[in-house]
Amino acid sequence: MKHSTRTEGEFTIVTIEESRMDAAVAPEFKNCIAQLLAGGANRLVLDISSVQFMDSSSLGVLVSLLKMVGNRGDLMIAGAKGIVADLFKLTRMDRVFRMVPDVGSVLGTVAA
Amino acid sequence: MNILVVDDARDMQLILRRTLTLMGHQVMLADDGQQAWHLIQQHNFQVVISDWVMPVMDGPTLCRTIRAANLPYYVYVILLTGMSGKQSLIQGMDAGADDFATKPIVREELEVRLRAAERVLDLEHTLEEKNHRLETVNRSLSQAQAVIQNDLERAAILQTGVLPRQKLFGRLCVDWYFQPAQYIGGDTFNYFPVNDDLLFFYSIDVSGHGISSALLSMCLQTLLSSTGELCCIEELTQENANEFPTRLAERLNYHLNHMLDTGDHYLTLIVGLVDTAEERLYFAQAGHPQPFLLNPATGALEKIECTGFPIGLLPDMEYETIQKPFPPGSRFIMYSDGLLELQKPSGEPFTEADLQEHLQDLMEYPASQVMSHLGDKLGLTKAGVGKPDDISLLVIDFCG
Repeated sequence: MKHSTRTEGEFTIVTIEESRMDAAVAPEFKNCIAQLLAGGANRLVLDISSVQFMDSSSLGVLVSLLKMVGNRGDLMIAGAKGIVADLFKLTRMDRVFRMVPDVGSVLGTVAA
Repeated sequence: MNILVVDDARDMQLILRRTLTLMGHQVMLADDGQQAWHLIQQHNFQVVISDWVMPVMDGPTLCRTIRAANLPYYVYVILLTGMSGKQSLIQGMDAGADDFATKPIVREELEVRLRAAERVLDLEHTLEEKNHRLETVNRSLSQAQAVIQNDLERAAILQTGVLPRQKLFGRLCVDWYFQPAQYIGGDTFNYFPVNDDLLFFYSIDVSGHGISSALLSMCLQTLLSSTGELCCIEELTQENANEFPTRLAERLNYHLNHMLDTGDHYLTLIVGLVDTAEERLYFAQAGHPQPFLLNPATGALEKIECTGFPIGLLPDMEYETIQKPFPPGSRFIMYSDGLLELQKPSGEPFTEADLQEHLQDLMEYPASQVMSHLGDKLGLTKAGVGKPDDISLLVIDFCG
């Protein structure tokens, strides 16, 4: 799964560089974020603004990652749009995750 | 090693035989290429040392004959030549020779060249053994795959076998479409009458697709059957029909979070009841695609805006029952999101709005014909076209 990771202050920002998040990438995605969590990153912002499609297995992975974070930190979803945003609404996961329009709004800076 | 010496000069044959025998090799002799080729077919030579110019068949031709025969073992060929120069080297290599020696050949030189031959033959032998082992492994893998494939085909028949067959319940006509992505899948549904007025139904999509999803869907069939431990159909009355879907969704969510280890699997569903006496529809939505309802007064197929937490993803979630009027002439359609992973012929993704439009066009057809028409429109009936996800669709008509 193509992605990039950077740190901004206390936040770890993971940008997904795939247009599809489906069963083919879900296990790798889970591993990759779980490793970041194990490494002590507990304020995660997941930038999914490039993702055009997300299936149920990836949504399941997101929830299991949220459970891993637990009360120790945050897992925020940035930039969900189109049918990906619809999926969060349909399954009410927009009430479970902290959804933000973009990474900039988390960092308190003006998004470019 | 078993070595064949090919030379038309008797003295050369004898010198080579003596030298090679002293080195501990077994040696046979041939006078020309053709005689050599006969011997090669009868004996298992590892090395052939052949003269270049001979009557009947020369060295390079013998070499080519050996290579063309594709023998099951490798034959290392050393060509002897009186000629020197690049041209003969190229000719010999082109014919498939492994090494060259110029006459007269001395013992020391022969010894090193044969050591080189041995190294190559050893490598060849190891490769052959590895190939053989790979072939054996491949064979057992193919056998195992055939067994699994056969099992899956049987399982697919069984999975389709648990789906409801009856399609008429008084004035309610039901029909469905079911197509797993790979033999078996995580989609399932069921419906059955509770009494003369109430029809219970559900449509489920287990996350992922494949064997574990399919087994979970079979497990849910049991849990939600009329005698299943979760369904508690005996508790259901006309009076509490408006709470029943909520209660069942909550019970199922509890069960999947606390009683059944589903791994990473969870499910979306719509579960509900049609009450033909009260002409009402009750259902709970748990993350399933939003269903469509045909309003007989306007003839419009409307999408019911509703959202809900999937089942088995997070514990202690609350669900609600949605109520809709369901007069004669109404049609209720549920489907799994596999339909929304299809592509239009143009390559664009097939959307909810496209599905709604297609279903609106098929409004005049009875439930029993909607499926085949929709299948044609979406190319679902095309054989051999793999689907990205399991597909299911359930239609309930209240015939006027």
